[in-house]
Amino acid sequence: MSITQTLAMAFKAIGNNKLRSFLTMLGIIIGVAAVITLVSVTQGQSQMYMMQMEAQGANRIDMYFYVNSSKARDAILDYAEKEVGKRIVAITPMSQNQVTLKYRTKNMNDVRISFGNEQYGLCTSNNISAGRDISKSDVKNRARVCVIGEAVRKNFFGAMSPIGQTIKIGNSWSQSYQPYTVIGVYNGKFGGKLNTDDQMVLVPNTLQMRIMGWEDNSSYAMRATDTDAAKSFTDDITAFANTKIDPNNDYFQAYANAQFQEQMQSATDQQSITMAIIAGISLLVGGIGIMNIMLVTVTERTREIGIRMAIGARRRDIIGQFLIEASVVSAIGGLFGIGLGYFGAAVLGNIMLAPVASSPWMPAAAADMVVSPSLPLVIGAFLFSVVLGIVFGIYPANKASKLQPVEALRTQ
Amino acid sequence: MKRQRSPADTPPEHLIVVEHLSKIYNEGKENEVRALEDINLTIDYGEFVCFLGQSGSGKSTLMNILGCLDLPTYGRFVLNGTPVSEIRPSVLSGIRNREIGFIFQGFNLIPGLTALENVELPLIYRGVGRSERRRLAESALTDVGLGNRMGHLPAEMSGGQQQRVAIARAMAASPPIIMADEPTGNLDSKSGHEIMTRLRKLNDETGTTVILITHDSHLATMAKRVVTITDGHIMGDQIYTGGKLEA
Repeated sequence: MSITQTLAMAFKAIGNNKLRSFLTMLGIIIGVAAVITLVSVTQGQSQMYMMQMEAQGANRIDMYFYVNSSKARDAILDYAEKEVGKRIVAITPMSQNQVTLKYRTKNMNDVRISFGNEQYGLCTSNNISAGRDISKSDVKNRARVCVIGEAVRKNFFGAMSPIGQTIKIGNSWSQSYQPYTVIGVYNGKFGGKLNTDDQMVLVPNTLQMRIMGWEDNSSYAMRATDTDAAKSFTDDITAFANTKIDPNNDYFQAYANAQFQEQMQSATDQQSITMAIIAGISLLVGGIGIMNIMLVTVTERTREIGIRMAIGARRRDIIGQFLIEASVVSAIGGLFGIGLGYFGAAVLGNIMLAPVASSPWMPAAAADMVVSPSLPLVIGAFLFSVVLGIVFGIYPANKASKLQPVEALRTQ
Repeated sequence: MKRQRSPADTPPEHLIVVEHLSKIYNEGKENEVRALEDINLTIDYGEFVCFLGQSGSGKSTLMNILGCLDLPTYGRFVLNGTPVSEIRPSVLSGIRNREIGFIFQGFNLIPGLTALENVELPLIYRGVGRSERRRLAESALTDVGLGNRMGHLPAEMSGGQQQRVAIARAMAASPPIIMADEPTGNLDSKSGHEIMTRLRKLNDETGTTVILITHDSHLATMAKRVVTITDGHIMGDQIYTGGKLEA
């Protein structure tokens, strides 16, 4: 008997008993939906963290250190600067603090100020959307200029051009505000929303003492040529620094975003597998449900099996019939489950990830992200449900095929 | 490779040869039942044989064996040249499919399938292609006068009609033997007579061997040969001439 014939028979048998077939499928439907929903949400979460990493720059390296000996400190900086042009593209100081900005009558508190050099934009993946970035000579000449973030631009200038305008920068405790000329704007990675990383101002690092009243040279950002270079250089400079610093009194840390990304990836991969296993248990229960119903079906249809055997069905025809029936039930259940899984992923993904997406350190694109099951996940879940039907159909099908035609025909 | 002509390719002398055949259930135990004992019988092509016996006589056991639904405990059974008693049980379904069309007392149609699909079923198991299968099934149903009922489910038909579907199913693949086990048992006398007339016609016109199993001696008069079975033994074997039979 051909496979299309067997399939046609299976659909007929399922169609003859719609309610029962649906109830049998329910276990598979719920199981597949659970697998798809949970794995999709986990993957969506990981995608979101990846977006965040991406916003900071995949090739970025951050370095923090407190070293008492200026000789050791210089040696470490020298090590990094010598790498520029090799694995490192650029390096910038990036001490940060909170300041208050004033423009005419407007005040803006809690603005992040970065003290960087002309490489700051490159190192931190910030692009100029208007005007120009700070230059080498700005840094050298301690020019009283600044580049503002998109949130600051929106808040102070609205539709007006900010370039050439003067804003005042100060801190709340000294209450001394100094005028700076706006020379450029960084385009907002966070949509220019308040209280995000877009609420910032960049000033040449040589002006740190002037604004803050102290100088802190402990933080640097670098940009590597690629993620491999970022990882290897981070390892190398850490090894080098450890030979220079005093482990009891000094502190050194360098890390590459790429490393974070890898750790995040493997963590979410593991989480996905755990989720899939937990949800898989419900699939297993669904499979046992199929076996149960198939056994009932075989008993109920003993006479039919006897008739089929009498008119020439071989053992393998009977096995094929019930195996295909079981796998068609679970495949249809799998398809329904996939549909429900898409729905569940969208709903649960929205509930769980919306607060994350709207948090200040998430790029604007995260808010638009819709959690949706990946194609391999969907195909995998479908194939798994078909295999489940076959596996749990084997015992009932085999039982059916071993019936003796004489006895099977005798049952009513 | 060209198939060698084997002795099996020439038609054997007899359609059915049964020698010293016994069927014993629970042999050697306390509840041993000797359903058939030392049966010897030959049936030729084109015969219309009736096995007549009361219930418990062993006639159904004999039908099961002759119909390749069951194997004898002892003895030899050769069907159309195939030594059935010597082959593996797993091959029996193929022999049933090729050699025998069954008609049962309880019709034994599959409830979820239409008349046409029921008739197609043995052809499906034989591996007949879709269009050829459809053609054969339709022509068999038309032959039994159900050309207008092909799409009906068994439950939508009368007993007589269902049994006619069963006849169509039995003869669709043109097997050499039609085996009918109390085919009129569940029918009123008019429908029963019609079924018997059809079987007789089938035997007369196509030369298909018909084996009828019944307890009804009146029905047996439709056959050309009556084999009487009592307590697992053949007690009589009479051949009637054509003239005497029209009851």
